[in-house]
Amino acid sequence: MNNTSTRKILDASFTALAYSSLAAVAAALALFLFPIFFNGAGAFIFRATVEHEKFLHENLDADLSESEKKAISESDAARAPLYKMMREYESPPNAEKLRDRLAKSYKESVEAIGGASVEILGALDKKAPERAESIRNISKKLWEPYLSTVRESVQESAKNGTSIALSGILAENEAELAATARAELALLGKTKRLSFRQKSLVRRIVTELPSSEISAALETLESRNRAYASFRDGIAQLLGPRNKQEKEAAKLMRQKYGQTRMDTARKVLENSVLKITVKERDKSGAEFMRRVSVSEYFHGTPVEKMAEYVGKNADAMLRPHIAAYPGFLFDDPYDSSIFGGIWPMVLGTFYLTFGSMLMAAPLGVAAAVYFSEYARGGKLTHVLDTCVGTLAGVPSIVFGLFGLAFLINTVRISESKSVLAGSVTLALLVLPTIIRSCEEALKAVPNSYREAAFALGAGKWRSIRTVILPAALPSMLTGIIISMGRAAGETAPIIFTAATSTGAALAICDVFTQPTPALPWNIYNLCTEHEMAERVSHVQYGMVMTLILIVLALNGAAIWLRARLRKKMKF
Amino acid sequence: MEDEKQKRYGAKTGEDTAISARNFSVYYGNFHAVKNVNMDFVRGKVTAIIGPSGCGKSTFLRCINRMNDLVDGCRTEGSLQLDGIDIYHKRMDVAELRRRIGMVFQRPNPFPKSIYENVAYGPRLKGGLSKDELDAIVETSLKRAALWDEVKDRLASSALGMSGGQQQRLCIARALAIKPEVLLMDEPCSALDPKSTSRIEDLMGELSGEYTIAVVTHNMQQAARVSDFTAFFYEGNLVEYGATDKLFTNPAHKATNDYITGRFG
Repeated sequence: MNNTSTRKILDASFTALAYSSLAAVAAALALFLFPIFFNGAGAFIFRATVEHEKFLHENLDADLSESEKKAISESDAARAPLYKMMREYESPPNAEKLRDRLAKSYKESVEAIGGASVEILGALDKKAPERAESIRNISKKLWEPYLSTVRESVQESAKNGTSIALSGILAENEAELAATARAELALLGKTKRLSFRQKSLVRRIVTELPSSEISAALETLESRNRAYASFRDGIAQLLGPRNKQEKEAAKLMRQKYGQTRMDTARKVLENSVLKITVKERDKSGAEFMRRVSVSEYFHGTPVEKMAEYVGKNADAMLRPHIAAYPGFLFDDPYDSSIFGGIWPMVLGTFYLTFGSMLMAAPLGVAAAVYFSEYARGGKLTHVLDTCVGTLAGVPSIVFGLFGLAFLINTVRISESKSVLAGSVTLALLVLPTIIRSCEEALKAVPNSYREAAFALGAGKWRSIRTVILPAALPSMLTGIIISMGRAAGETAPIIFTAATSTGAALAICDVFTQPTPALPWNIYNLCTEHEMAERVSHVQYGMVMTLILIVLALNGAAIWLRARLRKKMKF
Repeated sequence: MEDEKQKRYGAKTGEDTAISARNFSVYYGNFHAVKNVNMDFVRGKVTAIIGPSGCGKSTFLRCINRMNDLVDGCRTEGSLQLDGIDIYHKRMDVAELRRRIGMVFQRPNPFPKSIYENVAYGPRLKGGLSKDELDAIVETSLKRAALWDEVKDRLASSALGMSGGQQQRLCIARALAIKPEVLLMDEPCSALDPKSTSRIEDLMGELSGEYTIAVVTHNMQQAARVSDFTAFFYEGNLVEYGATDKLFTNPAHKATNDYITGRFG
């Protein structure tokens, strides 16, 4: 009585344990697969910007629908005010006025120098300690009107957005200083013959003070201009080139278009447009980089207004919309996978997988037939059997090195990496698994089939070919297809033998000589070595999902095939 | 003593002999499984081999078409002849021998193929047959095995979808398709229900005359029902061999008597 109830409790608890562990496995799997599939689907269906349509239209011959054309022109209209602000900032309409003003005061100072020849000559004749002092005083007095204009202009430029223009004018003035000094020397030389030392003193009087002041002013302006350049680059990244000339001048495709995806566009907006990197000096004079928001750095200037405009009108300028991009699977990648699809990688994976199976499957089946039907348990068989077992345990990277050292460098199966070399390496890798699974399949064939075939007068080979192999076929195919999934996903063996990070889809006739991109390697490559890894995260996930789907499809095919063949044979 | 026994009970019926064993022994490694058997199988008759488990009756049967070649460490001594030709001659074509001596096994073992393919398997091995000839062979064989009416409409369906009794009759049809002279049956009904068993037994009766049949069985009633001659094996020795009527009604040996009356076995 007691015993029965205990048994019932135990039964129930074991059942509960089994179910809960099943649920845990399912949950873990879902937790692992969900983000991959969710993000991977994002490579095919996502919130696109007008730049996506522009890219498709200009590079992949996609036709623009009326509504798309309208969206593009509307986004251009939304961008126009921003570009106008930027144009005005880069070449302000009041630049000429500013130039005139500075030129005027520069001229005044030069004239003052010309009129002060007597004073300068007097100072040159003074004794050493006083001489320096008086020279400095003369210089200060003569340049003061110009320098105060410079200081005023620099201060005003931040507010009225003439920094860029001003730095150009100041640079011109600085270049003029040498000529001014030469003219002054020539002038002085008419009245008095100057010694070499005196000449250099005169040069100092004329150039030293303004040069250092202008340099200081330029440095202030330059750092501001660099900050603006950073903002401008951010805008270019976000929206693409502003006009045709800029587009034609762009060398890389990524410079020809703005962000095609809204998720990366948001990131660029946050990190590169509304925030910029500026160079600053600490107290000891060492430079350092600082991330700062545009509105803080350019507070009260036209640039702040630009940033404000971009922040408010990002959607109008980019026109986000849901887009399906089935071409992700079948298009070539462009500009380091930033645009386009993953077709060469998918194709490369197929080449490598089927290539390796073409070699491994017949070899594996033959070896399995030998082990299961012919081998008579001798020493040789034992050694071979051990070898197969050991081979199954060799790390895949070692297979890769073997492929490189033996197949490519020694046998010279191809000039360098090639699909052929990679396929052979992968074939060797999966061979032990195939042999083992085929051996198991053959051993599972009832002995009575062999007896029946022999009793009917069949020879050994005949009975294997007509009865045993067909009976073992479903299980053998399952093993082979599962090995195929393994070959499709292996990375290490193909790094050394077959995979390149970039390259176009390979024609079938080139597989003997050419390397190919392939999914597993390119996933690694895109995640770790890509210069803009963050911008291609959708490609990374898309590739991972595609690879998982290929492997799942292969395993699904194995299950389906087995079920079908079993049903046909009614095992 | 032993030799004398053999001489006394070895078949000397004066009839046409299909298979004859002379001082035939089988060893599994060191184990002497069949000991100096002298026995003649009469052509066109059903010979039953009975005896308790492990007495060597199956081993002896399987030696007739050299199925024991497949067993590691099995060797034979003495002579075993089919129509005067030494079965264990070193230049014997085993495949040809097996085509002359068909076999039906303890458990039905049709191939995982269609019914048609099962029967056509043996003739196909020999080759050189047209589709029509093959069809004819399949039909005759299935008719002989009393299976034709049951399966003629589903020749293309899997043999593994049939009942156990049907499968065993299919195996008989498969064996008959290669037109053997001798049919060896190794406990052909042990895995079958009584109804299927009786059909197989009827079949054996129908086939005798045309084929020499050797059947190993555990079932003494079966041996009494179907066979013309019966051999009793005990611990590797052929203890008694003679006409079935005589052996079951008036056994010459005590061991035979004990066995058929159920004292042991």
